[in-house]
Amino acid sequence: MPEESEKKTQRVGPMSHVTRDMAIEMVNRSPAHVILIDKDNYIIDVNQRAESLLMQKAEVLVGGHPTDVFAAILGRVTSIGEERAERGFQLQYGPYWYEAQVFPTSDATSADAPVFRVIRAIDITDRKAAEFELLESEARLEEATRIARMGTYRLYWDTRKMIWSHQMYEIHGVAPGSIDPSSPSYIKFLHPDDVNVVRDMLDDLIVGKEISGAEYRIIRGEGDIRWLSVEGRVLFDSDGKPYASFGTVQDVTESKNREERLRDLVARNTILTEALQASPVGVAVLTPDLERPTFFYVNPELETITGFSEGYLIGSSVEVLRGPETDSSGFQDLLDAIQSRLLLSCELTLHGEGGAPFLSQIELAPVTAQDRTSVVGLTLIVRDITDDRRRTEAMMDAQKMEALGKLSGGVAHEINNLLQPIITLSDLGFEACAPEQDKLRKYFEVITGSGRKARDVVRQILTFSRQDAPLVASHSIAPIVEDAVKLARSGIPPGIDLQCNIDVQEACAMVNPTQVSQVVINLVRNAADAMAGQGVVDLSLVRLSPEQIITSAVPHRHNGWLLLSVSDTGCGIDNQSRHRIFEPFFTTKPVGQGTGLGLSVVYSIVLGWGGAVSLDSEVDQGTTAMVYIPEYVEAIDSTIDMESPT
Amino acid sequence: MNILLVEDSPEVSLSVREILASAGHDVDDAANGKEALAKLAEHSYDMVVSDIWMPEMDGISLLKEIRGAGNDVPVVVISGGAPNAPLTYTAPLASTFGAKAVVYKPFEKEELLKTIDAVMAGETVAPGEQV
Repeated sequence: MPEESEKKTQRVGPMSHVTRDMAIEMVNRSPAHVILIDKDNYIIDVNQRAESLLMQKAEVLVGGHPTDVFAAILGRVTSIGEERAERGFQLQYGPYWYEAQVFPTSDATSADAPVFRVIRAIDITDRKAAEFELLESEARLEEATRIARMGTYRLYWDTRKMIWSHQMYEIHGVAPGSIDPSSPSYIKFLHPDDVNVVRDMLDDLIVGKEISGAEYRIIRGEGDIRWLSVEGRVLFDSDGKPYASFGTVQDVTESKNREERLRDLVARNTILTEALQASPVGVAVLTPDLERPTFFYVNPELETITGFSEGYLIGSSVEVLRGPETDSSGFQDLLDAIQSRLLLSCELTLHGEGGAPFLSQIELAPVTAQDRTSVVGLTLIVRDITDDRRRTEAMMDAQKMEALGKLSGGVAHEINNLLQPIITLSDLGFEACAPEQDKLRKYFEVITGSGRKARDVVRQILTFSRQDAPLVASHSIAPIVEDAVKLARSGIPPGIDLQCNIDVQEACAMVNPTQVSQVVINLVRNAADAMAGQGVVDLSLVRLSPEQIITSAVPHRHNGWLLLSVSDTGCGIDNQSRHRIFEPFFTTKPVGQGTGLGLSVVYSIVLGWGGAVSLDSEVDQGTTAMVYIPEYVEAIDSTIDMESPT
Repeated sequence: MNILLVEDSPEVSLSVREILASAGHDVDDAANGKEALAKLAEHSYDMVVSDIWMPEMDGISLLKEIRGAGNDVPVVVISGGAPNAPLTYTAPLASTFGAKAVVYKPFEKEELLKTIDAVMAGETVAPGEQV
């Protein structure tokens, strides 16, 4: 021990020898600017840093009064008092900040030596700038959290104490500090469905789990439901031990609502799109491009109707649906309506893939934007009504024929009764005349002849109205047609060549032979009349193949169909006449050349066999009359498949 | 032959009566089925020639009455069709109720006379058949 105290003494001992030089050296090396002044404020000494700050050597400065920073420090000391000055203070001088201290000292060599003062200043400008920056960023963070509706919390694990930032209180719609977030009463803020979510979340935080993007709802005053999103991180103490959770809570109600609206919108759009896709009518949306309206959307039914693929139609103009059978003024109306963004409803024959024509019902409607001021597109609804129209027309034709049949049947009865006395009495009158009464006999003869002609007309009408349909029986059809052709040949002009192709020698049908002749003769005569005395009439009798049945005017039938067709290359029949061609007394022939009963008789005879008649005709190209006759097969014929109505 | 002609139209009646008379038949006439029944109750006829469509009592009802009364006098039906009954039905209907033949109006003199002869000879003549 004595050794130790000796050493200590040795170490302290030489201090008195080195004090001044060493102290000056220490002071010189200090980062502080130091000036020593006497009680009258004259500079006694300065260190090197003070020299460099004042940019003058000590020899010059000593004996003078402190200037610059040091003068400012002394000035400040008078305002804050000696005691504060000893503890230190901060001072801004120009753009620089200094930490300053002014304290009294005395010459260590003598106890009653006069008291001096040391002015010590350290440049803290850089630290100050960092402080300001921190303050500023804190203010910015504060502003940012306010704008983002974001609060922070801290949850201490040992006490389960929850500390909120004041933004947290704002998010919960209460004044800062007005409630205790650690209290179990916090539960009253929670949406009933989310209580467990929050409970689980807190349990997770307490055991050190991190949370990212967990969401729950709170209910503020007046039922205001807010969505909150939570982040949570673990805090560690200086020893690296976790002790608390820290995190942010953000009010995401707005984005959540937007998200929900967006989701609703997407769901709605999906349903609407699906509805359009599944629509049984063709739907297209056209761009409102004035120059060239093009398809923007087409649904599958429109692809089916047109035969064009979606890929082909989209970007194409509506012009792709125009074809040779399209009514050009009607189509122009459609284009005009598209350009003028008008409503339009019309019927048009359009052409699809490969030029196939179809009759369509079209509805056009502009689609306005939500603000109702601009047109963003046009919807085009297309229905293929080809089959509907054909069915409707066939039904109307059939009804018309039936009505005419009834009417003419009634009229025929009256006329028959009137013709009986005309024929009988004129005939008897003729016989009652004396041989020399030439004139009178001639008159009676004419009356009788006219009566008989009238009777023949009435019988034809009755045939049409099927009031005297003779019995039909199973006959081999080919020989009957061949006989009829012979008869027909004798009745046509020499310039007409009748060519015959009968290819069903073994086929039978339930017909009446006389009626077969009537049908053949009528059709051949019509064909010949259409060609003005020169040309070829083709008559054929064939069995229809199943494929031909699908495309023809008759339903599927177990025993099949025979087709008797008569074609000419004559003047043809226009569309309008075609609908009336089977009406009795309707004729396209010049006055006096036809009774207008031929085809109506054919029609009614063939109907009586359970068959059908149709005409294909094109003006100046010719006409083909087609007579469909049900083939008869013994004992099987009762099973007739009527899969679709005629 | 003694023939009862049943026909509501006076003109047709006159015509048929002339045809029958020209062949030497005696003709009595009635304007409908009821009158005919009254005459049949008083006289006996070799044949009845009757229209179908008549007021008061039509030809089919007359046939039913005649056959119902056990009278088997031969009946030849003459018909011009009916406004509401297709001519096609006339022949089968008339045959069902015991008519021997059907002749459609307007007929030729010979057509009717030959049919009457055939019926008198015991034949049944289907409509439209050549006699």
